Amino acid sequence: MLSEILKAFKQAEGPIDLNELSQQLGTERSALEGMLALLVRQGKLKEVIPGSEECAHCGGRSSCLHLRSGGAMGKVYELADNGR
Amino acid sequence: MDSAEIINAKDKSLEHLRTIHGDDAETLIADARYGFISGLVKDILKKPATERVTATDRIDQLMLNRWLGIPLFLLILYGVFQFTFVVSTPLIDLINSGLGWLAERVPGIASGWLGSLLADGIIGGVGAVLSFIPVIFLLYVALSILEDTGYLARAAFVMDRLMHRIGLHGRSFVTLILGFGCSVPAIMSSRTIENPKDRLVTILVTPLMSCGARLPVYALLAAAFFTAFQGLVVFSMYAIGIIMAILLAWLFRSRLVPGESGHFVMELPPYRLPTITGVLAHVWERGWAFLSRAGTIIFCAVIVIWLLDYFNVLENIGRAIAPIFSTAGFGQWQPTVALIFGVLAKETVVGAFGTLFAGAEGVGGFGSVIGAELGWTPLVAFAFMVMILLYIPCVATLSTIKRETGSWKWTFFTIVYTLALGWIVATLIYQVGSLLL
Amino acid sequence: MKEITIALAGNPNSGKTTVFNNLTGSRQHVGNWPGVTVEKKEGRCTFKGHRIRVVDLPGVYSLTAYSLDEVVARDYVVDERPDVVVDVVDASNLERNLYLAIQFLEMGANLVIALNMMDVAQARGYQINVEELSHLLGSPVVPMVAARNQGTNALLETVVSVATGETRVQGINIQYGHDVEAEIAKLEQLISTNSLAQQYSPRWLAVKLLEEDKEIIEKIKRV
Repeated sequence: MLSEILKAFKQAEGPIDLNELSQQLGTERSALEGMLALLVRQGKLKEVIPGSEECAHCGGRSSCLHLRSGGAMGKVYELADNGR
Repeated sequence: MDSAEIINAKDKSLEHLRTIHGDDAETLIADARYGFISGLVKDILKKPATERVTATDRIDQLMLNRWLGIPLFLLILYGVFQFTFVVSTPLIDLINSGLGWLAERVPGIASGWLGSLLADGIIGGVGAVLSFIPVIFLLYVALSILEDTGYLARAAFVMDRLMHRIGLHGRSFVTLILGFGCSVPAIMSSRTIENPKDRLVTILVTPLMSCGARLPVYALLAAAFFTAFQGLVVFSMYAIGIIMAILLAWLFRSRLVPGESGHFVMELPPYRLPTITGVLAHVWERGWAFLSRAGTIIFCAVIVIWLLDYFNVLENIGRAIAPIFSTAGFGQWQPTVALIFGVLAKETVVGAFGTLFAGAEGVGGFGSVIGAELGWTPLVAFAFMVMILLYIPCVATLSTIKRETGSWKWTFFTIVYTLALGWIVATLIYQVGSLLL
Repeated sequence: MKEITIALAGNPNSGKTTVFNNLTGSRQHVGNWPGVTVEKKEGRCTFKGHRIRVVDLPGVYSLTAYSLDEVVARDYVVDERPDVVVDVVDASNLERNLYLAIQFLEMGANLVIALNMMDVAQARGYQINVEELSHLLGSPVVPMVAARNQGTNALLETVVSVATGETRVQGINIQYGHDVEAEIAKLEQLISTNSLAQQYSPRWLAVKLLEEDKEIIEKIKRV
């Protein structure tokens, strides 16, 4: 199952959302979240929350639409060795 | 058995398993557990033939639909601008009459250069920028609602899916869309893009995503030249920005050696109703940022403009450079000067116009003054707006680009390409438009 | 009648806190797990003459050594040996929630499953064969809707029954595949003479070693 998830990542044609992936793999969505968390912990996937970086002294910080909105852009999972 | 022996035995076992299965034992064990559970659950759980889906899923069937997703996004964006302008216009007029009233008081208090500084420089310049607070405020209310409901994540998702179909892999839009607020945090958020080429391309095109600071300029000109179609015209600016970002990303990507790039899975947050406190918090922050920029950079820029104008230096500077823009229809010194100062902060363009034309007819409704003084047609105004959209980003953005790319070369490249792009497109619009209209 | 201690476990958002409140009412006490900044809640109740002490474990998704919460939960069950472990399972998210339950069962805990949120599962049209589930897991399963305080008495009945030995929890033995099982067997042999084998089951230790569980490895090194 876990390797199927990684395969799905490699073969993906464009971004997939979690619901699609759970349908594709035939697994309950929340179980899938657990598996993704495991893969992230193992370092095979990377988990990113877009827009959550420290923008400490950035002049645009207070204009930042996103900062502190608590992950309203969702979460992104990628293969950990992307682009290397 | 002694601990060291146990640890050794463990390592040997792991090695052995890795050789046979090509994976850690941890994965194999987790897989076995999941497999066990999966089988067990299939045995004891019966789901209905049509699983009742959550509200979020139902909405997403529409929002993420392969054909409807993007049109819906554009529609929603358009709706945002319509809403913003319909509601803010009366408020802007109100502020302008207030400013006009203030300007009339000035001769009573001061005269000569001080009077001019107050009336033309400060009230005319900074005041002009401030008069657009309602627009900024409403736009940010709308954008923050879009974000808090979770919709913005869907917009980024469908745009990145489109990018993928064009051959642009990676997940730029998830960060690019933050550029609708301000380029600076958007560029910084690209740090999470691991592939260096994807990241560079994303950084380079981020300034093309129309930021909040440009809004007063659009508002000013759209109100004056396209009164009935303000929302549509401003929407078109954002749309052009998105299109240019995609085009340039594609162009840059094919020039730089394409690398392996990101496939990704996105966990979209569930839809939820935005809270009033949440929305107000965002808006307050942005509004405060706007006011403090008005009070500092813009204030100083306007004073400098006023000074240079007062001593008749400004016009000379402007006239020297203006001819470049004649192909785009605005080869006059005033817009040229505005463009120059717009590199400091985009709102300054409004401040510049405000100062330069303050004398002409008082502060109120001076968008039309521009038309009268400069002889602009709507076409020219449109070309100018496109120029504002595309040309050199503000210094804050440039310094962020320098910091994030760590290179002067790319920063300089950005300055050059954006200026060139702005000039080319504005010229094209003007020239082709003149032939057609 | 001796006091019965229950450890209450479950995923975050499984309704564990509601179950805890249903069991203990206002007789709760909050503190910290020793040596760490993880909140510990304890409470009491009585049922059919038995005095029952309920210890609320941190909400966790599994029992690895990766997070402090999981280590705290795991250590409590091993070190303090509560009479019963109640795992609150969200019936509308079975696959995810059962992942924790089977780990408790593999540890040899006296597990009772509180199958909570039955109303949500029903609203989705799910049909759960509770008896079969109990049979396959070798552990009693009590359907509940904690939000409406339904099933609390049945849960207490079952807990007392397990604590007094009237009902036995069989536990499960997941087969990990031929090759992994072979390695487990090898390690089990080596471990069985180690003093740790008195506290934990050798098979469980072997599996944890293969998972490279940091805490277990530390414990083995320290012996």
